[in-house]
Formats: sequence, structure tokens, C-alpha cells
Amino acid sequence: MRRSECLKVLAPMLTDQLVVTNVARTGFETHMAIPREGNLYTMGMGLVTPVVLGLALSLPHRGVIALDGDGSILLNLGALSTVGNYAPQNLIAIIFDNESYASTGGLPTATAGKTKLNEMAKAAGIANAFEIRQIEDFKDLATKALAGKGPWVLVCKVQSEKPPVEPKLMDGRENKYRFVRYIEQTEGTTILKPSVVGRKDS
Amino acid sequence: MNQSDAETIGTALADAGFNFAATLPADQLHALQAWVSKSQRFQTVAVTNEGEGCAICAGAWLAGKMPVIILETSGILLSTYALMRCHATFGIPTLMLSTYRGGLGDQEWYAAQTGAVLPDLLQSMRIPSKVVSSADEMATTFVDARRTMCSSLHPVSIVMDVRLTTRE
Repeated sequence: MRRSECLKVLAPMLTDQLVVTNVARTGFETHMAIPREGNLYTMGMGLVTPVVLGLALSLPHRGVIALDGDGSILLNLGALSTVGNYAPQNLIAIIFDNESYASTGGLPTATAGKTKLNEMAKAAGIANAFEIRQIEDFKDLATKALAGKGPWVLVCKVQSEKPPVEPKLMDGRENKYRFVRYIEQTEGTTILKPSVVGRKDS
Repeated sequence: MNQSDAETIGTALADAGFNFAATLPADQLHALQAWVSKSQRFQTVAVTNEGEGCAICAGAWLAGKMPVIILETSGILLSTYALMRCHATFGIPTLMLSTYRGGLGDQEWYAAQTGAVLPDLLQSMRIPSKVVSSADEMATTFVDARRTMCSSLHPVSIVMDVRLTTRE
């Protein structure tokens, strides 16, 4: 199974969910397959699922999705415990597990050895945690996750590869502004409150 | 920190508009963290490390919350990666309300080095910081912190000194 295949399957399923992606090719491939204003790309390793947890807890009526990786979640495994304990029903963590640090040379991660992330997620209290090896199974479980109560952790065993990707002509700050403006528009709220001459908030 | 100061500080924090709190237990902050966790004015998340807590706060801010992480001094060291790779990189504010372990008057040998590097550490991350020694200063300080957070889109630090956090 390839990450790009999963993203192509996921693309038509998305509506107004908020998506945060891991670094490197996960971000680039997401931008190619599912370009949308509700995506925040290239969050730092270990920070993807925690940022999504903050979104999920703050907007409990709205679906939020982490497109994380094995190397990333291994950097911050405590996040699985926090997701398990707070159990936001609107959170889906899709972990693309290629058993390697593919973007930086391909050295193996712990999941190339004995570590199984879906079992760690279950032990952290996340009942809906699955390891997926076939694209048909991904389609089935992603459909259920988007329709049902979470939290969900879908550990997708994918090839370790570095396919060519298109450049993403947007830095993190522009991406952040667009992401926040999208939330403001769709939630009917104001988040960005820059200083204005003469204004004194209480 | 005594109960009276904890209530004063917690109330001031909420009055200034903060409504989302990440916490990890610290002995000098227990009363404040317990007050905030019980308060209906905050959505509170108990985290496993302060870096995770900062990242959760970042997500909360993106969703429209005004976040604070209440943490021990050493937690700022643990948070540096999240603060730089997430908050500073994308331009996301969060208030860090911390102790000043190793600050002037701290008698614990193991805290000395952490306290000694704290000012330079915050400055190196370009994080505006204020050391506060009285609970009565907090109301205006929290309002100022929120204004700076909104204008700079960068984390802000308020450090409570040893006298305040160890007052009986």
C-alpha cells in the first residue's frame, strides 16, 4: 500500500474536516492529492497529533484529522495517552507507517522492529485502533471513522519511498493564516485580532 | 502557592480572557492547577509533557481559544522544540505561566542551573517575559500578555518568582 493511494481514497470523503499533516512528503503529497484551505501542512515531528487534539477538544462538533507518521508519533507517544484519556469523538489520527525515516535517508524506525503502534494506541485507551495493510481496508475503515464516533487511530502500513512531489508554494505562516481564516469563515468567529491604533481590549 | 493566591491568579487569568489550560503537575503550582482544573471557566487538559501541552495549546488557539500552559520552569526547557517548530514557525501564540525554580531565593540545588539559564533561554526564543512577585499584579499582567499575544502571534511568558509560589 502506498501513502499516495490512501490520500487519493481519502480525498473525496472529506467535507469540512480540519487536517494537519506531518513534515516532508506527507505534507507535499497531501497538498497534491487534497488541496484545500482546511489543511495545515508540515507540522513538526511529534507535534501533529497534539495540535490536532487541541483542535478536536476546542471544536468538538467538527471532524479533525491528523496525517501523522511513525517517526513523528514515536517522538511523542504520550500524546496517545492524552487522546485516549480525553477521547474526543471527532478525532482521527491516520499514521502512515513506512517503518523508516524515509525523508532523511531511510533508516528504520522502531516499527521496523517489534513496536506496533496500533497496539500501543489500544493500550493508551483508544479502542478504535487498527493496523491496515490493504487499500480496500483503508477505504472501509476511513469511511467508518468519518461517520462514527472516535477517537480513531488508523495505522497504515505503507511503502517506504520518496516519490517526486510538486513544490508547495506557500510557507507555514501563509498556510496558518489561510487555515485560520477558513476556520473563522466556517465557524462564524474571529480568531485573528491584530492590534489596532486606539483599541484597548479589556 | 497558597489557596488565596491561587484563586486570585486563576480568576485574573479567566477575567483576562484565557479559557483553555494545559497542565502538568508541579509542587509549587498545585493549588493553582487544581483551581483552574475545577473552574468552569477553563477547558483543561492534563498532559504527559510540556512540549505536548504547548502543541495542544497551539491547536486550541487555531480553533479560537485563548490558551495558557501552566508549567514548572524545567517544563520550559522541555517545550523549546514545540515553541520553535510550531509556535514560532507558524506564528501561534500561547501564554506560558511558570514557576521560577532556581530563581533568587530557591534553596533546591537541583533547580539552580535551570533558573540560571531561564532568562537567556526565553530571550533566545524571542519570547517576551515578565517576572511577577505578587498575585495582585496578575490582573494587569494577564491583560498585557493577551494583548501582546494577539499582536505578535508569538508565545509570551509570565514567570512567578519564588516568593509568590512558596508563600504559605
